Amino acid sequence: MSLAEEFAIVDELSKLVLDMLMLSKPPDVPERFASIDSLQTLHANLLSLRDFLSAAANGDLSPNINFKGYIGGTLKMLQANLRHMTWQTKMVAAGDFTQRIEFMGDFANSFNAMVIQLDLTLKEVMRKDAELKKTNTELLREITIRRQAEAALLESEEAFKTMAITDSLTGLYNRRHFNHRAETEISRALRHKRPLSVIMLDIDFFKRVNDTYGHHSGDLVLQMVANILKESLRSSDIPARYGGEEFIILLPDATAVNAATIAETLRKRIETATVKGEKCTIKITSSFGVNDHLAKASSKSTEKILSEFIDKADQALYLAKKSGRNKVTVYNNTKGDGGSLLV
Amino acid sequence: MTDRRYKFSWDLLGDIALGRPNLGASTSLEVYRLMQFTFRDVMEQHLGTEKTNQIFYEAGKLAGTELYKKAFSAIKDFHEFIKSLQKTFRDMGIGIVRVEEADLEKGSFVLTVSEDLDCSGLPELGYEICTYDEGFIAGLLESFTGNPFEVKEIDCWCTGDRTCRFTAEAIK
Repeated sequence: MSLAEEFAIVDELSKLVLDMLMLSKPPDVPERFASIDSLQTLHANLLSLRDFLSAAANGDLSPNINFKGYIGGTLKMLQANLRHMTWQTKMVAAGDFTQRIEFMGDFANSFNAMVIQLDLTLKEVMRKDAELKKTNTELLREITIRRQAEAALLESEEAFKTMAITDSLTGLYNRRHFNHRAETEISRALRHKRPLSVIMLDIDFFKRVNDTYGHHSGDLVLQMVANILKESLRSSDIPARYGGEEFIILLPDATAVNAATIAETLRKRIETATVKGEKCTIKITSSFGVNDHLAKASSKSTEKILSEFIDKADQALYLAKKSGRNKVTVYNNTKGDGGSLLV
Repeated sequence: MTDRRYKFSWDLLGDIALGRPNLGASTSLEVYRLMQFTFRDVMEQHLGTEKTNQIFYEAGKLAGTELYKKAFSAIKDFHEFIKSLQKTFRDMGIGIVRVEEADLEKGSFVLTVSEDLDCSGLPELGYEICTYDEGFIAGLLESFTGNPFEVKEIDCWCTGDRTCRFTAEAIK
């Protein structure tokens, strides 16, 4: 073989290697060199190298590098680094910010700086979140305290309202609240032309009870009468302590006859009831005056009407007392100047 | 064998601080490899290559199992286990362990060990040599997962690769 022929073969093989490196579609080993093992190995290694580089360029790190030596070893090291970095990135994504990359120069430095910054940012976010939660908890506690205070205030207001309208000894309405309710009921009765009655009740010889058995026993007697009223009356009736041993009951939608019947029931219950004093049992009686006569609204104020309305019941009560006590007397409107005894 | 003289115990390693107050706990890597390769030489002469490799694998597995008991048995989380493993390997100068793939459910792992105690820097021999490491990794993974593992070195410094790569598959 001449030197020129040898140069031609070297040139052909060099071009084959260059084409393996440069062309997008790698050439095969020419048929006439197919029996040269080292050339086949070189060709196979270059194909493997191309395949790996192409896959890696597209983010696929899975292909095996099927040749050894410096180039193969270096590529495997690069592959190991990139695979390891992928695994570390997954760990960072799962919340492990202690992961650090080594041996990859600027890339490692940048990755590590990013993870450190992520860690710091996340810690700052968590710190702020904790602060926010703490503030929220404090706010909720403050709201609870305020709500409790509001509830206590409402409860207190309710208690004051109740105290303002109630007689503390008997638990019945006091005179002022009774008058207020009574004016409302009078207006309603006149507007709807409905009957309305009032009963005045006075405990007979109450002074004797106080003098004989003491004021505590007197209080017990008053409480007993109040309890009988509460137990015996309709829910629509309005009983109140009018003053001293005097009670008053407003009965909406009740005529004098109805009211007198109720008064008689109350009288009997009080007559048969007993109060257990410190040394003995106390029995009492009571007198009742009933009235259902209401003046016309056009001529007088409600306050005046109420005053006269109660006054007539009081007159009937006076008659009951005068005629022997322990009685029910109804104001007789036909006579115009007083009550008559109910038989 | 019933009457054993060399059953492994950490006590057999002795009190190094007491015994080497001046030279300390470390020695040269050359001495370590001298011992390992002279063992290989003599064992191979007496037992053949395959048996020698098997002994190295089993010794590595025993070492991995014992190191797990000593250093990692309290760790329950896999990622914590790996992190601890990486630190221990680095601190003890065994190598730089890194994870390429880890699927705990399937029991499938790809690990690399760079700057490996046994092989990094050895001449190219055309075959993987880290049989002791294979056993060592198998012992560690078996201890952690409770399942037997088959560990195989697929790339080694001795086959021209720059890092040792191991596949570990749970045997089901």
